[in-house]
Amino acid sequence: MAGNSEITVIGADTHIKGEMTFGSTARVLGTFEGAITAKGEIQIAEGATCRASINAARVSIDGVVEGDVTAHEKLTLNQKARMKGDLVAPTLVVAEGAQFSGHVSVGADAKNNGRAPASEQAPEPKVVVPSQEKAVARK
Amino acid sequence: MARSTAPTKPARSKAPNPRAVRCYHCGHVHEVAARASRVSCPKCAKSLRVEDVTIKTTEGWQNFQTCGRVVILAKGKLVAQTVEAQGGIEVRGGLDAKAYRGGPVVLKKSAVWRGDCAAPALSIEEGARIQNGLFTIGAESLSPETASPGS
Repeated sequence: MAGNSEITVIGADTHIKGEMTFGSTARVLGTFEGAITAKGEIQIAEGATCRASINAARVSIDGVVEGDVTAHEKLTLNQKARMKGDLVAPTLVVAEGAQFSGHVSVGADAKNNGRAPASEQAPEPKVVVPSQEKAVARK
Repeated sequence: MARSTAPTKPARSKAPNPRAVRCYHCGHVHEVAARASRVSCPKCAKSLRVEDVTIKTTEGWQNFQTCGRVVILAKGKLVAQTVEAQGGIEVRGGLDAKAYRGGPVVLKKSAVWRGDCAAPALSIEEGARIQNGLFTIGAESLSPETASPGS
């Protein structure tokens, strides 16, 4: 288990928008909007609010999360967790009292069954209608 | 003078250990005998299945409804459009439904779940599989949006 020195803490009075990438464990106590990626664990503490897509090895939620969550090892929704969004994880633990709503894919092959979060989805192939192509060529 | 010893009708006693069930048609809560398997709802008069059900093999239903608890054993599989179990459901085998609504859901390690789920609580053992269903767990599962399965 990672020691305290390896944990990055986003304080309770902090509001961040954007993308964050962590090499190990991060604990969010404040408000975050955007995307979080971590090789270790992401902890969303009680009182924290995340409007973000989260991608990490392990995710533990005690606060409020709106967004898709992908855990490569384990996703834990604790008693106070409130979550809206799609979940993909090989192992899901839901404590009594947790509330969530969204598509769920759990199991060893969850990644194949689950909907890839919007950020991971391949862009739709552009369809070029021949007549448009010609029109562009004429211009 | 000797009194008549004609057999008297035994007084009809109340059913022991009555349990409360909620009608899955109208939502009316009433008591039924502990061992009752089917009753009529005193409010809407529709037939209700109130027994606990164990699924041991593959069973196919259009709409599977019971006020009791459903247990799907490891070799069992329940295939249905909608499943409603007021007493909750424990899955060791497979459940393949468009939507489940009812009591707490327990997924054991060998469980394979396919379909949407609206329940007050969810317990998942390591190894259980959920194949991309829309889950609404907690207080939100009782909201009008999820009032009728499959709608």
